[in-house]
Amino acid sequence: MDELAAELGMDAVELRRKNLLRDGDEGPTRQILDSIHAVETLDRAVELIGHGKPLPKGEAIGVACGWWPSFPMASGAFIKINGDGSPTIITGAQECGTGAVMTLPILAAEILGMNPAEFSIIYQDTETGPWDGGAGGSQTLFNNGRAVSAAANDIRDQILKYAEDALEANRADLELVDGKVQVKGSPSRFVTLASIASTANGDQQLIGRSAGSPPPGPTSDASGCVGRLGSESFAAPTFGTHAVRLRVDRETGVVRVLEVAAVQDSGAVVNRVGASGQVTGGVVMGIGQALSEGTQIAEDGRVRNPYLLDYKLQTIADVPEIKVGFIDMPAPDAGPKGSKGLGEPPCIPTPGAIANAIANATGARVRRLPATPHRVWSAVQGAKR
Amino acid sequence: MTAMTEPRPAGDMGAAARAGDSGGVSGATFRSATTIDEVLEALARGARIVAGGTDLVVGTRQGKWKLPAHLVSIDRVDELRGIRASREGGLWLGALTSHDELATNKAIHERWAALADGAAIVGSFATRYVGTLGGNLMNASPAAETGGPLVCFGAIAILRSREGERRIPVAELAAGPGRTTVRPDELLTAVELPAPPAGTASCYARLEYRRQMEIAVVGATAVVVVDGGRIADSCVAITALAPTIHRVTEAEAILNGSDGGREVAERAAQAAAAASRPIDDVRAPADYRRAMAAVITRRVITAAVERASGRGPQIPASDVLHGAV
Repeated sequence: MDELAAELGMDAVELRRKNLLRDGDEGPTRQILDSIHAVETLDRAVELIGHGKPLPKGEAIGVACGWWPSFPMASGAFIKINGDGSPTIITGAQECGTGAVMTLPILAAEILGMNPAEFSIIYQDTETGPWDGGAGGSQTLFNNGRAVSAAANDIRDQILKYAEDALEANRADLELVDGKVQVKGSPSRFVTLASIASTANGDQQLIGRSAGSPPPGPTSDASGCVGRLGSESFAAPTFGTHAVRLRVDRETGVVRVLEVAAVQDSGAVVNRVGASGQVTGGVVMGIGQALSEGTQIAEDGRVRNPYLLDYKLQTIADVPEIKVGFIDMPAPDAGPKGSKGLGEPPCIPTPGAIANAIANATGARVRRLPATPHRVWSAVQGAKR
Repeated sequence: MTAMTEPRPAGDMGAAARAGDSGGVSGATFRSATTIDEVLEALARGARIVAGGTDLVVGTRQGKWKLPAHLVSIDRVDELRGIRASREGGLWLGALTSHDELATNKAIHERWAALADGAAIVGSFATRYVGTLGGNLMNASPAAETGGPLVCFGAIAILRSREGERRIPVAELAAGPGRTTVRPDELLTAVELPAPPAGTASCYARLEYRRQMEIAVVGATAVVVVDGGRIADSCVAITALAPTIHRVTEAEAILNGSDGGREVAERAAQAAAAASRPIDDVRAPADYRRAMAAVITRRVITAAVERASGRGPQIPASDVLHGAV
């Protein structure tokens, strides 16, 4: 994209702004893109990095945009209220470090009038938990969050049924607040969840369960060329723009990333702390992909760098300042509260942004990742000739 | 880690290590010594030494070598510890001196700056607290960060066996990658740094790809003795560019008598690159290493000359000079 802009004599950010998908645009397979905010991610990212302002000598900025689908699929959850009124989520979902499972109580707590911290979670146990597709495809919260919300609504119904009897009130007049059910406007008339649970223990039990219904996928037409995209349309597509400021040691090819601005349109943000952490981690992985990682295979097929001393992840000492932004807008046909997948998207644009910044800093383009010092140095040497 | 269900023969240790098994050797012994005499006795009976364990244990786990059947641990031998002024105005460094101690010692900062530069970038924070000077030298890695500075400062290795003491220049310690000239019954007890002449300044730097958990891709040391704006004497050594860390006398000849300016530094650096015999490995191809030998050598020469006049990079130079920009 940067090279096209150069050919056109245009600013690379401007060329992106002109061509980015907008609300109501048609995708490559006739998918109509509804409520998307790609352009806003670009505008915010370049603003956060200070694009256009003068830079110290030897520094350069690079920008890249990315998109990624969400993956609607089946997933299940149970919620039970224990004898003391405490809630437990039982899920088949896995917590692989994204914070998705740890976000589930936020969704259930809102429906049940509780504090998320009160929840215990039983997870990544395929014997006790209902079915889940596993941690992959940026879809844990997207699908399991939906199941947990539906299970919370299921158990809410059961709670209200018992409360109607206990309080002799119509459910329309009841609300769930702080671990009890109370009559709206008369908070002194209440029954605790512990009390309801003890009644239910000799009866139907207080166990909510559901999978919820995955949102419908977008309509599309794959009769044209879909290429190697994998899926013919992008359900609840997510967008992101990363802008990177870095410095290149032209003599050695060593690249030092100084600052990254990462802005994602991942729909509504359910868990701000978790989402920011996921983007920060994604950016660090993106820097590793861009500069230092990569399995090397010897001629005899053996891995040459099987240990972390030679397979070079970025260390915490290498991590630059990372500014994270969200276009926090609910998306249609998406996950809970209008959220979209955020597992993989945060490490998609970073390598491209770094490669563009290296080209802007040196005038030489590295065409293969990782852009190791040797490759950057070779590109700079080639450009000199 | 898999649980071990039955004893393994000693010969299977490498495979066991590769399988991620901590392994065990039937009849193996481990002795924790508290005096040099205890160590020497164990060595005479065929034991091998372990100090910080940052090379021996990690290398065993990676299947680089078998864990020796008989180990004598020296980390509790207090006679091997400490940094002391020596009689002739130099410094005595016990073999158990940690990299962190070297990197933060005031006398080393003032008079042997290149050694602080090197020690400050060994491995990670944890490695520098646990890893020892003796281990770094006796591991005989061509990429050892303290090797170049010690060679250039004319450091003497003090070796002890039951037959007595032997003193050899650190420059003669390594025989090749992972091999030393030290006999199996000898213990490196200390390294002595002779007093540097007045006007001495120095710098060690390496090419590195990241800021922690790194090994020199290429390293270089420059020591200059500046007198009246001229380099009266110098030493240049290259690291990770040959089977052993060694001096480049051609580079020194170019520097000696000169003003140590950019043009001279560049010529000396080219001499260092010409003297290098780099390998292709997972970290870099040889041609890139050779080109970087010139860049890094020029930078350390310039930094040493600048330090001689009270300017130049901070000590240790970490974060300022080596590979980092």
